[in-house]
Amino acid sequence: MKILWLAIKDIKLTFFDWKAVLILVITPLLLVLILGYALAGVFEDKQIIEKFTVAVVLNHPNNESENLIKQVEQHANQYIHLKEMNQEEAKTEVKSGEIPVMVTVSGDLQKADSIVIQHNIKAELQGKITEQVFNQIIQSSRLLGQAYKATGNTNAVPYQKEDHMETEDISETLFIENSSANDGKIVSSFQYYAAGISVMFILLTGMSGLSSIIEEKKLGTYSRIRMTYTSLPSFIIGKWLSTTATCLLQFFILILGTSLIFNISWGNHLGVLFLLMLAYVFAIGGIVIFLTIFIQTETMANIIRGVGVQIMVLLGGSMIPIHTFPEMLQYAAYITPNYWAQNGLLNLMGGRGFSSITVELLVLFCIGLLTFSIGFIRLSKGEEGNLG
Amino acid sequence: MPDILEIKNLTKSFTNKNVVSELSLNIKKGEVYGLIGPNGAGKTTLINMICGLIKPTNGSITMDSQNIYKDNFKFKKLLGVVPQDIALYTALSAKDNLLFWGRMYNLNGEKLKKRVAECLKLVGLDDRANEKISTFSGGMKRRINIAAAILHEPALLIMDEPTVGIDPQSRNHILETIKQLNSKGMSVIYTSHYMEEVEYLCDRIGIIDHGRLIVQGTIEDVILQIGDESKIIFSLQNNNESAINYIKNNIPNIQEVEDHKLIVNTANVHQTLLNILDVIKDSGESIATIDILSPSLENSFLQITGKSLRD
Repeated sequence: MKILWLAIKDIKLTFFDWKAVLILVITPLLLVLILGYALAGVFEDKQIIEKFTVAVVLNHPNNESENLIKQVEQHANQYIHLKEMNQEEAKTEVKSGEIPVMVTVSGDLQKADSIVIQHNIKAELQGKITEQVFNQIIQSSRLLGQAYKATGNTNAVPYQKEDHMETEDISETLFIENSSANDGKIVSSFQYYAAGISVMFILLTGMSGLSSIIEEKKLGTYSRIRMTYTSLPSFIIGKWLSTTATCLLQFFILILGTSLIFNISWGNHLGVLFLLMLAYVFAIGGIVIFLTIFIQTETMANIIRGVGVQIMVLLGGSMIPIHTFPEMLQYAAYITPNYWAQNGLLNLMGGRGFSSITVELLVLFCIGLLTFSIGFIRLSKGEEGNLG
Repeated sequence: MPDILEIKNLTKSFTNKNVVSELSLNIKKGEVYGLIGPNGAGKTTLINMICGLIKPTNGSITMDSQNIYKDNFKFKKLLGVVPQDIALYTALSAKDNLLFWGRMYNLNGEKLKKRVAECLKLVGLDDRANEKISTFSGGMKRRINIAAAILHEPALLIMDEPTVGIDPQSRNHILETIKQLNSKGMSVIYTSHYMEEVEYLCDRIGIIDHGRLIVQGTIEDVILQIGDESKIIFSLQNNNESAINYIKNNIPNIQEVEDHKLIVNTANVHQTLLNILDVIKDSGESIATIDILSPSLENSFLQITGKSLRD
């Protein structure tokens, strides 16, 4: 019961502080508004670009390549129109700008460079969309699944680029397809930033739990608590509970605020959404308890909140989509809990269900369990730990 | 009277340096015990060990005949602590603070509400119960700090400099509150830098320095143990060197300290004073200022530790 009172006291202290409430609720809503409006032209809920034609060149066609084209036609006909032609004809059309993009598909899809996407210099966006469409279709139809397993090749599509025609990756977050229901949706700028800003601010709020522990030590209330019947484990769990509860409360307010004010859809699976957020705040609560082992001063806590969180936010893709980063940094994003939370949120916003976020849930739960366990055991040693 | 607290051969070392060294003392049930010592003497470390916040390197602490490290929860029930810091949540009201601290002592329901009301009344802040601590004066905060420590009606209350930096009105209120609590049977360990508070409140005192208990007893006992001589301190109008030398040669036990002040220690103030006046008259000088200091706790403390209590 004392754990509950400790947590309630912390939540009261947080919400009695109007500055904290401002940071917790109004600032993220403002950021969503600013970023959402600023990028509305690029991320509109409607299609990003008019439906366009893609020239398809089938070299040595076989069942696999023809099946691929059929599936692209079937699933992406709202974005692109495929027109089959020969190599020379297609190149002329693309160079002249009559057709923005051409795709050359070799007969053997298991070979590297079997799909080559080329676009007119002025049709970079169309080129990226085409690339994304093919990437998604190949992944969902698992045409190459067995081959990848056999060769250990984890690249989704073996692309080739030609020097005179530029191609670049496309943001995976702009197009999310529900492979089972075939009801793929485009995530809007408001949705993207609602997810990104929410995970960022929940991270910031979580880290304020760290400052709260240090402040209690500085004020002398921590020593006073220890002179009462309250045990050290109760104090630690109380802090963890208040941190996770405050984060969860903030998340609900953000969902409500963004839904009512900006009409943002968080997907159709509110239960799964709640589960994802629970896993996220559990992970953050664990990290806070873990960091308490090392962080002993207010200055250090402020550095973690100011610099550490910013690094995690950038690395996790809350502000800038991580596909724009070098490959190594994209892998590094895996260590940030906000990356997994945002990924999961975008999946749900794109119309996917529980099965699309199982990995995210598992990773977040493991981060939380591991960090909380280490922190709890270490801190519970009392005098030997930093809380002593 | 039986002891409520007994400390035997207590030692605490930090990086091989003894902060508290072989210290033994006892607190009797129902007494107010003044624990005094200069800064860095080891008082806070001793209090932290009594509160169970840090473990001693050696020695034992028993409260009501129980080793405090064997039955942690039982001794916490007996002990209330008023820390030197204002250990309260300033964003919460006085009442909310006391409700919280009461719950930490396993109080709840009607009993908790009753105790919060009683404690607020005792410290004279029942009319400010719903106001935030941040709006209170330093003295009022210190009074709530005391209220939070006595909610669970402890048998022994430790007060670590509870009157630092507050107005005289609050200070008097706190001193009267302690008297009131003590009259109801609560034992108190009181530390302060104000000797007059210690003299006013305490039945017995212990002077601690360099981690050791130097002397313990009633105030009269301590003064007698240190000596019962008074001090006559005087200064001269012109500070003429030859006159000063004449005076030094003709008054026994005289010392010259800073600013040409002269001090004579004596057990017979009247006779010595007459002698001093005669010698000064003969020297051709005249007296500018003169003070007579009777034997006091402050003087005894100064003599024992070589420092003023406020240093």
